[in-house]
Amino acid sequence: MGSITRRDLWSTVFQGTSHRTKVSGSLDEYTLPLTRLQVQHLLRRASFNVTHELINKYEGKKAGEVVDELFSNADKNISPAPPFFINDRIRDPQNLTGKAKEDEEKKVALHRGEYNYTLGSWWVSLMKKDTASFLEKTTLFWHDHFATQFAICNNIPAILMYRQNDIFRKNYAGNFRTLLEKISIDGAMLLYLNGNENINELPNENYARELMELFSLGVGNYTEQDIREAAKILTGWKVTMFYDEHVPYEAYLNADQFDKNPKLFMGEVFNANYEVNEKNVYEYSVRKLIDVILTKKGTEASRFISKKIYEYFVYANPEKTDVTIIEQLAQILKNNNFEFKPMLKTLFKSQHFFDDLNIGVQLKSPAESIIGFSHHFEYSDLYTRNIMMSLGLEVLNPPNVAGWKGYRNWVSTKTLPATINFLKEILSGSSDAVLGSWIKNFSGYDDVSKLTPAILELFLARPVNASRLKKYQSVLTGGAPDYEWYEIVKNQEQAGQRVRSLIVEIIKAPDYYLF
Amino acid sequence: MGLGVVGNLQIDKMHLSAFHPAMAYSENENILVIVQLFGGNDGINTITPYEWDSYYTLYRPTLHIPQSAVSPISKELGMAMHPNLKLGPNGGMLGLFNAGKLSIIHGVGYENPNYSHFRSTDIWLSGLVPNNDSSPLHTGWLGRYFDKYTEAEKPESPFCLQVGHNPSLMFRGENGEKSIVLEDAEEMFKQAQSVESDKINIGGSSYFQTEFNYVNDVGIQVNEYSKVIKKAFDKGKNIESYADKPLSNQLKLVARLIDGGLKSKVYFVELSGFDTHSNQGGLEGLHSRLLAELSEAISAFQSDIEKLGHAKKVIGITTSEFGRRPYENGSNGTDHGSSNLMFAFGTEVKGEIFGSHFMFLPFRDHQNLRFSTDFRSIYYEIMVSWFGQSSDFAEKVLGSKFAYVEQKGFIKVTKEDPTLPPPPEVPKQNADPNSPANANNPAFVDQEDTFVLYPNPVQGNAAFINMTLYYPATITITQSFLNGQVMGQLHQKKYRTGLYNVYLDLLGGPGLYVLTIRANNRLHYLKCLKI
Repeated sequence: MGSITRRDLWSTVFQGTSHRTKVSGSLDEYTLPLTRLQVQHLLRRASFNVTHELINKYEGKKAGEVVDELFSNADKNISPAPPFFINDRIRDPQNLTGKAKEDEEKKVALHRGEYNYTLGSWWVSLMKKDTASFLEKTTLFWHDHFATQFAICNNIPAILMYRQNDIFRKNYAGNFRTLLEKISIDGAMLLYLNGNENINELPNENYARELMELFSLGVGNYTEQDIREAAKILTGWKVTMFYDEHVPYEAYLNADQFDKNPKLFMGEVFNANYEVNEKNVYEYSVRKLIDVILTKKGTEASRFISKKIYEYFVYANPEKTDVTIIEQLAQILKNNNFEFKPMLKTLFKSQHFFDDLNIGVQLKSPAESIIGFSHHFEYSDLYTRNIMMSLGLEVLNPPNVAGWKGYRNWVSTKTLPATINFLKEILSGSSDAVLGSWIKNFSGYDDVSKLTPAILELFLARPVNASRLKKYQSVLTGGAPDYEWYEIVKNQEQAGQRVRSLIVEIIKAPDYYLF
Repeated sequence: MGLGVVGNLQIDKMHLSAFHPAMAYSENENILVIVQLFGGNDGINTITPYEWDSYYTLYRPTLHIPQSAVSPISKELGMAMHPNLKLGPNGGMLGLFNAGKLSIIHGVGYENPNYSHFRSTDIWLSGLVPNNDSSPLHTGWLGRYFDKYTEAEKPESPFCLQVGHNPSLMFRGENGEKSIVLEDAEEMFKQAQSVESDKINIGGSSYFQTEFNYVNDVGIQVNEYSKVIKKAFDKGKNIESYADKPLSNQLKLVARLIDGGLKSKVYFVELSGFDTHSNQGGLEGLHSRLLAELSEAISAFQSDIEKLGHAKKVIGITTSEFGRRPYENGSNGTDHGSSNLMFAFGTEVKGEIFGSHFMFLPFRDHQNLRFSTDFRSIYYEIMVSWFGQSSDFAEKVLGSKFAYVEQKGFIKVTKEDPTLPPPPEVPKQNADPNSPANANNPAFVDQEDTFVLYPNPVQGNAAFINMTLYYPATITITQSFLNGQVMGQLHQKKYRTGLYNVYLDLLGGPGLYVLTIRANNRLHYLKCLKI
């Protein structure tokens, strides 16, 4: 350390992914009964929440069975009750006068503003409730991948953001082709990346570029010409929030603004040799575009999305991801016609996933550090959303179209102290008496040597060593001899006070920020 | 071939020798402030080519800054400043230029520019231009600069201080982050009281331990540095008054910390919103408002730093991931371009204009400009002249040496170095479709329209001609047998200059044919094999 050789520099800067020799390189199913730690690992990677009830339920079971159950739980919940404003109907205020105009203007302002926060807290509450399921965490993955910010020059109406969110949830483990097709004419996306301004006379390349750069292929797998032609292929799509203009929130085609000239994309000819209407253009232009991408560049697309999935669910260090595993995952995805479920199930049941060296290596985003914490305590969903926003993860409003940077960006000199303070604030919403009664659900709560690790396992990535365990135990007892805990715990408030001190210590620990 | 490419090739082939760990490092007192303009600043409307008709009529028919509004800074070079650059104390950035405290560096960029924000930003932050688009960029140029310190040698103040939220790639070294990220010194200090400040030794070297140590170190840094920063914050002050806007507030904090004696070498602040694809606007538009914020902030900062008595040791630069294209787009905006201009400010920079207006550079393709100064020249000069490091060390950080801008460099103390490689060569050939009308550009178009058949051989009847037109023309395409017998006309249409794909539905069965392309009165022939 201290100085760098140029060879080192070179390898740091341009090194590809290095193979992790020590970690199991096998995607074969892990067949031993799951340990408590392995259950926690699976639950934390699949959702934001872990509870004793779930750990107890799955401990000793086989990975195959548990993972199948987590997917089937997710499948059951893909249609949660929508937020209250979803059926509002709004007319274009410009076509109105007087009071009617004012009323509609107020509604527009709500939909472009406050309701987006409401929608954010609606989603946060789903994240908080989603246990033993892959649903909400995977939905967040898609939001991060197809990043769309509601807060742009003219904010995107909340119903459009809801509809996009609904696509992600309904297709959480669906098909890459379907997702790409749907997002290409998704209303929020049309507004966000100027698809609605992409017209035959003046093509706007914004969405076409990101479709290939960020959504399907990655930099280097397409040409500038591909972008120009894709933009033309996608011309003419519109969306409105006003029902007097068109069916609101549904993308529609303005056939006059669709480029009817032949286009050449990745060597394929796109001829408008059909009646130009919405159905045909969607079928032979939009869907065909996605089909050409996935047919001509299927290997690149599978590799690109598999790497992102791997980084999100297994290990985010882009230098240390396992290329052979990613390659195998990409192959499974491609062999299954871009259906994600078989690939995800293989990954989560694998020896590689359950390898001890993969446990506790991820850095928590505010979704993990805040939701996973507030799950255990009473706290407002809207405030939870706002705290996540302060820490850099505002749902429905990622920093830019590339989504959140992730990995170590989540834990910086700015966010670490701020997170600790927010966690304390969440904790302060529960009185000592509440905390004192909270632990009574834990088996062996009156034995401090059992209670301490029971609390720790809810929050820390891995079991701590003996000396740290001893330290935490003495925080709980307040320095009193261990046997006195039996007495302390009888006084609910006093016990709660001690539990609070312990949790304050836990959230300072580096391994609180890992999972 | 651009210098950047040469530099990389050298590294690829050379047997590199180890960097001597015994090398002694010392830092002088000098400080660098980096103002990042995220989104790609439109340099053309920042410094306008105000006497050039084409700017108003051809390139920016709706988005130009009117001639009557701008402030000329060089009649000879035909350059004027955007009027909002007058805003701020002492006449804003125009005032700084008139006082000889502002360098304007034209044509900054790199070879084979990338038009993705994220990639191009990473290239600027890393100080590396890989040959391959997908080569990952893991470290930043200042991260590698400060990698030279061992744990024991770490100074009391953080190496770098970043006002904002997320740690920038610029400060990521191979052995960790080299910057402290903060928004508010007092809040940080208050919050830091509850952070784990002890090193927890859990042993081992698995990824879990690596990440554990990372988080542990962030906590220790917060704890240590928040005290140092708070001390500087309490001791320091501001004399100049600043606008209450984000960039001004960031620079105000930087000035106060410098005044309070914080020894950080680099300060990083950021203004975003420069990605003006639409709604860029003219004089009253979004881009103009951003320039107002920039000028107010930089001029207030410079005035403050002078009044506080630190001007001798502080310079600043502005960076942006790319410029914008000369031709405005159809949505009241401009798209991602290539080369751009940079500002440097302070009493220790040469208050001059470097280079002729970058908009006079020839086009590298039908819509983007060439560059004349590699952005790494600026980094290289900063490390050697301003930070006083050896040229070998700077070369190690950047992988190559780089010419000073116009040989003399933009920093006052820079001495010419004849051993440096030459600056990037700017090809004379201009690919601007409208270039003959470009009176100020000595480079004359010697390209003819190009027509390339695709695919060739053709399977079936569908084919395309990839066409670059340098003059507006009516294009007529006919297909003939080899003996000259005409089979029929395939296409006729009027085109403006530009790049097109012309679709053809070919006639006849498999065989060899000739396509005759008439562009006004010029004829081009292409052979076409159908299989």
